Amino acid sequence: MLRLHQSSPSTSSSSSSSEKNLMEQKQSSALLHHRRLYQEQTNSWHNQDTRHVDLLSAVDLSHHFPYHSIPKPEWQCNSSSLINREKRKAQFDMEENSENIVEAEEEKSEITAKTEMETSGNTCSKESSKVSEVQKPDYIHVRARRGQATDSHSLAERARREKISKKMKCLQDLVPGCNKVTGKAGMLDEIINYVQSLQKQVEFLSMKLATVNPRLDFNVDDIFAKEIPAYISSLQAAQFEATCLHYNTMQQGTSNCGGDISLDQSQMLPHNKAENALLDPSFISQLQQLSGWESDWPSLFNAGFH
Amino acid sequence: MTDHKNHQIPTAKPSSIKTRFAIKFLRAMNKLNNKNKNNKNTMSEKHKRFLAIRAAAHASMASAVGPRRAWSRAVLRKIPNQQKQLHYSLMNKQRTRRRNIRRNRILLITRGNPNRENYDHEENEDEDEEEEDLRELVPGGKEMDFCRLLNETAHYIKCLRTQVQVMTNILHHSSPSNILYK
Repeated sequence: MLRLHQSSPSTSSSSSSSEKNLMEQKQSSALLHHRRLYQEQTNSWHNQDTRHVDLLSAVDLSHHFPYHSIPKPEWQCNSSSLINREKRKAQFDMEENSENIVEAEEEKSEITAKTEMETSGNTCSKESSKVSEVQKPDYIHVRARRGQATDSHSLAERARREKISKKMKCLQDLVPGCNKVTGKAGMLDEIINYVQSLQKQVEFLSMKLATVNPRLDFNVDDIFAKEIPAYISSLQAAQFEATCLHYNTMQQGTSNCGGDISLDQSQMLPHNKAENALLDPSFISQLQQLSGWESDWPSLFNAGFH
Repeated sequence: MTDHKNHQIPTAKPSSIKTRFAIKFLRAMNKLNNKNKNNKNTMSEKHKRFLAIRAAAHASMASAVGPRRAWSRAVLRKIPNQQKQLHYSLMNKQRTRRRNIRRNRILLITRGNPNRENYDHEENEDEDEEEEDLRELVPGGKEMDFCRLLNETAHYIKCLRTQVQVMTNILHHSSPSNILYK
């Protein structure tokens, strides 16, 4: 995934691809071989190198600006020519802005690199114009957004977060009553409640089937299979309402079902209540022991399943 | 694979999950009923029947979905039916192993250990608790990363819904002959 993000918009020459390979190698062994990093940084500047250097500086010294904390080894290693130094200085100024962003992000989460979109958004507002120029030098072919760091860890994190938010939106469509709640935690709560109520519904229905059909024969499988989808929406809504009354799990669900329920419900509910009354004393105690899907698989199961 | 249709449309395709589940579940119910010809109707018998029916519902749902989903694979693994396990394992052994190796490598590179410590305790604690709860609810959820967990949850919710629909309809069909309604 790292490679995808870094190489897809690129028109990579051989040198840049070799640099990318260098970058990836460094990530895997960065903290252990920081000496090598110092030397390699002189040859080519990347945001990742400075990020690793940031980590070291943060760990070793304090939360200084990175280049301030590591002037000596860099200039010492770079004893070769003045040209390099001038180039480095020019790049130094340009890099300052992006480094601020990187460091701000790094300060929040040192090792786990769970950077927040908001910090990048805040820094984006400060230094938007400058950063947009800096973010796209010639040999870093990373499609980064304005004001956001381009090191691969935060890229990966950002991609992962986007994936998760996309899927949360899909789940939002599935779960009724999720439109009011926003944010990850509330959504997860709703989803968990919904799954639990669905599972309890299944158990309730199987319990009903157990008591209600001791003698019936379902010989005509195919006819059933075709007729079944025809009796769907009103029954489901009515049953759902019944189970909500019975279990009191989905408080929001009842308010949703109240809008959906058709006229059949008024006839269905008294029947359900009658059945519930009959079933209650016998099975309530057993129901309370029920948990999710992992509750016991009895040996009787072999009898039921082929 | 045709997924289960929107429940407002009353027709179902012949090979949808709904019909597959319905057929399997009905067959299971038939077997159960045929086995339990002597009608004791005591409390323990009822409880046993209930457990068997619930297990049959889960298993027929999982087998209707097939081994394509992680949660259905987890459910199928729990079935003490050796033939099914053998068949499934022969089909998918290599594929799943390769996929798991690849997935673990990706996990290590991008996120490190899936169960790593989070330094930002305040924000992540609530989410982690709920994530744990979700992992317990969805079968097979303990070994997935969060993205995959959300995928599986979405599919699991759809399948649970079809399960509920089919079972209510079965009840409705069988209920007119039931004494309780009179």
